[in-house]
Amino acid sequence: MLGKLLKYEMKSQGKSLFLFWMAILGLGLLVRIFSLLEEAVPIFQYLIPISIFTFVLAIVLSLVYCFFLAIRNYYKKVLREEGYLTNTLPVKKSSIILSFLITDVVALIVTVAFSFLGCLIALGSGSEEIRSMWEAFSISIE
Amino acid sequence: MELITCKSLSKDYGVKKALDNVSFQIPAGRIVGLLGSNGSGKTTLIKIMNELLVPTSGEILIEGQRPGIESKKVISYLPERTYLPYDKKVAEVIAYFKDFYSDFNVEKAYKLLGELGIKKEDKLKQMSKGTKEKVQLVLVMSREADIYILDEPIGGVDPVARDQILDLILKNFKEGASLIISTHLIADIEKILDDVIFIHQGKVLLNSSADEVRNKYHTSIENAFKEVFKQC
Repeated sequence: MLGKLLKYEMKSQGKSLFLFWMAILGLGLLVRIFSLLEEAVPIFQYLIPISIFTFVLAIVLSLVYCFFLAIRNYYKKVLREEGYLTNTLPVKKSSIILSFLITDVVALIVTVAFSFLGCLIALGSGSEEIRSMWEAFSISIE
Repeated sequence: MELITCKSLSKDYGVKKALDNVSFQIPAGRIVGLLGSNGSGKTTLIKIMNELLVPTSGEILIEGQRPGIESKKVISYLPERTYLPYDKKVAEVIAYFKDFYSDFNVEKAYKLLGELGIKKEDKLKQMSKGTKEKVQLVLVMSREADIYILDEPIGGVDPVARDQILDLILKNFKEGASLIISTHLIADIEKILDDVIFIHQGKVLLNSSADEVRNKYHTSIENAFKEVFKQC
């Protein structure tokens, strides 16, 4: 039954976060396009900082929204009217709680993954910035 | 074995006694009216049966077991609130019920919804309150449960729709199952009842067959209720 609960929770969470994930990728692509065409289209140099700001804002909002969704879903589906449905399902109460927890953690991981992918798109894989960040990270570990 | 056995059940909210030493038994195959005014303890009792509340003392047994996973498999419960997720379509909630309840009859659900003019692609958020309540009722009555518990199924409905709803209920519950209908609209429901439980301020005032009540008080169940209520 935990599997079934997870199926519905993840589908619901995915629908709620889908636009945020697409926004992260789309804005990352926009940053990359502006960066690449900066010299060809002079106005793009003014749009780069705005697009970077919007891109970072999208990532922050997505992460905040993950936490908001976690609280809202639990409140709505367990403590409010939908609780009549959730709490009378023939499943263990622990399975209900676990399904919310697992879904929230997975949603957060997927959002972080999309954020990282967005950054790769924005900076371009193989670019100097990625190499510099990687070198700095490697040095800090050592 | 009785289907439902309630022994000295009490539920306190601080100093307020929502249920006070309630005891009764419900056999299989009976239509039972849980009758009382607003705030009498009907919904509290029903919530305890469905493990939505925990009693302060006493116990209730469903097919010999305390409320839990096994009782939820055999009870089909209609709360008095609208509880379906509003962002879903009819087909999605039917799929949800089919997934979690092995006794859910999908064909019956679609047939009943069709008779009410509700399509599977209809969205719950676009429905009126009354239509949403009908969808909920259809979902509950499409289960082949041993016990159907309906909390105020005709509470917010116009008199014409009340007959339609009662008709739907009577024609669609599993043979041999018990049906518990909780309501304050006694006059509308009494004609279908086998047994009645009068509840007032958390106490059971009377627990008897409907015919015995009519014979004893020489009047309708509603008037008998008023008489019993006056004696308290």
